[in-house]
Amino acid sequence: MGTLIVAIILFGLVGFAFYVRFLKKGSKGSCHECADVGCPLADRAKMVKNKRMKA
Amino acid sequence: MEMSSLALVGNPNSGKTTLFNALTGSNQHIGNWPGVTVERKSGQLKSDKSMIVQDLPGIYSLSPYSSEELITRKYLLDDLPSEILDVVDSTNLERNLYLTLQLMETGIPLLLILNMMDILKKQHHRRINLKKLAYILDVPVVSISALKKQNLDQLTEKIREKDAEDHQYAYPEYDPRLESALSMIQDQLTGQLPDNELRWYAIKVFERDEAVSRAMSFTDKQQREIEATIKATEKIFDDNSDSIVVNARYDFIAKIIEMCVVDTDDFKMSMSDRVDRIVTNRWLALPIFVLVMWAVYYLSIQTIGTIGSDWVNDTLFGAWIPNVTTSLLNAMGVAAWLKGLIVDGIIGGIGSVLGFLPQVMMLFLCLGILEDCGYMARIAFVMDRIFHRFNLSGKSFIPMLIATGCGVPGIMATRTIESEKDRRMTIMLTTFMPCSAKLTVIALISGTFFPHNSWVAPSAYFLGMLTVVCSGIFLKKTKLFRGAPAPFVMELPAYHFPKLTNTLQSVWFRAHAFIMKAGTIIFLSCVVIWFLQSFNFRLQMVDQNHSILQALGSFLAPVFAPLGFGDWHATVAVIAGLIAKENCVGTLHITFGGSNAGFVDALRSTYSPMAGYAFLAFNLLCAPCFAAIGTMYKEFGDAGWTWRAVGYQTLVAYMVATIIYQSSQVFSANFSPVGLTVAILALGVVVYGLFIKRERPDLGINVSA
Repeated sequence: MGTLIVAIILFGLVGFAFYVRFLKKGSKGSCHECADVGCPLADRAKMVKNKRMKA
Repeated sequence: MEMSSLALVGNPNSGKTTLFNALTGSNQHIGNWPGVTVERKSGQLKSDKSMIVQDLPGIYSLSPYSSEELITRKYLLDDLPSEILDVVDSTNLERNLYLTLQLMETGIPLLLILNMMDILKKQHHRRINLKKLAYILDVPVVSISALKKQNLDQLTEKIREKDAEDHQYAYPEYDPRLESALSMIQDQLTGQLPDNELRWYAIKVFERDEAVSRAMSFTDKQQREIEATIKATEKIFDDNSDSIVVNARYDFIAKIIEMCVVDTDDFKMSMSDRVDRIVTNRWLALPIFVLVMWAVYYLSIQTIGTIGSDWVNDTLFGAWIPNVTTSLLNAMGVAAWLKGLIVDGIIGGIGSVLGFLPQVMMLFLCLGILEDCGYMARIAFVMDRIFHRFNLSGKSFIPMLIATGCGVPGIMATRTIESEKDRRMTIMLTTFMPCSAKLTVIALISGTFFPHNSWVAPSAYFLGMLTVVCSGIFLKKTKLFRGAPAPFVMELPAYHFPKLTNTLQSVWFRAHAFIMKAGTIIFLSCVVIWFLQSFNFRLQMVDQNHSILQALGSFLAPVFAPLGFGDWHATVAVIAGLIAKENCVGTLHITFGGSNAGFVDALRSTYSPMAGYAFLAFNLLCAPCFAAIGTMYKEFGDAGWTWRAVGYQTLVAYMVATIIYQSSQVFSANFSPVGLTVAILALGVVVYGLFIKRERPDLGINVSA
């Protein structure tokens, strides 16, 4: 029983992770937000402000 | 309701988007300009919903070269907005006014907005007489600070005033000899165009603008007369037609500055200039850069970052989490295979990646401080000087700087490179720079094999740069990429003290993205890898040495033998690294198993230090992750070029790693004939490509059979 419960939770998480990363509309399949990965030429203050506005 | 459109135009970094956001609030619509991937933003004016503000890309001129310039030009000439809102950086008036003059030539009503007045006021040494400026240009002028939201009411008032009135503004008048020539060309255009557009098209015809000349329909007689006019004017000025116009505009700007701008100091070096004299000095720039990067990696990988990483690896993911999880799973009576998946696969795999989070965060902090203070922008300038010596352009280095965060935006940033050859070459070379994902591999190798050597981690960064330079030298000699380097002009932002809150927040955003990646892609990869290493092809649970993963790894392992890591563990780690570079670390941990200390001991006993460094070099330089490869394909628009790039990167990685490992074996007199032969061949190819191969001169001779 314990195995079944944990397996359901675990594979549920696997499915959810797959969905969030690859299938969800607007999901980022790769890192491309400047605030996420850093950019030496972008204005950091603006990036932080934009990120806060989006959140 | 009749809608009127306002075009928001200006140089890059003049504050257009800040003003756009202030004027439109949340009433925005975001899309793409047709045919290009440049973002298109429009929105309704907050105070008057009948006015649509179109935010156009930042441009320095209306020449027809870059996609941004073409978009703005097309929009102004075809869509004919009611008014142009020309946003000008008042701290940089001379440069910004060039575009203003070009915009005025289009005949569209213009409102000149002097932005960043708050910064100009702080400078104390310069004042602009707005009334004189408005008088000379015969356009309304408003001064604002979009960032501080100062004077926006006055701006909105002016916009609505202009909408109500019908005023024809005079064009800037240039040298009388040029004006005479333009007048003659305008006579030839009369009838083909509305009166208010005649001047702009006359200037373009005079400049021999190909797009405009094609669009006009001239008779042969008209063509001859226009050409004669242009040639005569060129003879008078002893210059080309487009240079004549450029000089005329700058002469006009000089007059404006003389009349409207008051400088209290003739020339005073700012703090930024003084610092730049040292930091971008011809001889000191590179050593300073090397020292700075060494310090960054030393602080993050060797010292401060290591303290946190040791605790996370040894205590959190080494003891607490596995012990608590194991107890819980035992109490629930969970099956052994599932326990193994959770504890050894998921916790072990993700834990080994997250174990480097403190080091990675420290690195983000150091790089963030350098970016925020303005130093990283100088690096592009410094590298341009070096790149030009090898027929490369510093413009190609910008995407590589961006790629130190992530290769995907770095590859996308190559869109700013006009030359298609240079652009393709830059796409191929960009991912040689270590991205944040590769930091985990750097941290693992330097921490495991070279714990007391502070040069190993920064050497990875410099190895990437050296590979970029050497590859550039070689590729520029080939038929596919040869050509003169593009000129490089960039704006250096002023130095300023980094704001700690902004930097820390940025570190948090990047760390959050790192954790999210671990929680998704790395998590999924760990599950798959654990299954592959726990089951055989008959789906029976087996020891890892009889598993699917071992079979796949062993099949490819001999390929990596000359590199010093020809076993299945490292081979599958390299392959898993194609999903995400952090997977190299997670995969190694899963396949070797055990606690963190056991994992480190297993690595040290399986591989020599130089084999570890060769593994690092290979993963640093080989084909990037699938996300970056996908982006390369999108940017190339061609599968052939994508395969060429991936093939080239992997080949270079293989050669470099082989040379590194086999050189160490030669020094220790412990080499194999096969490995040495491969290394000598690789070295031969490198030497030929860099020093012997000559670029074939283009004699302009066409030979046909």
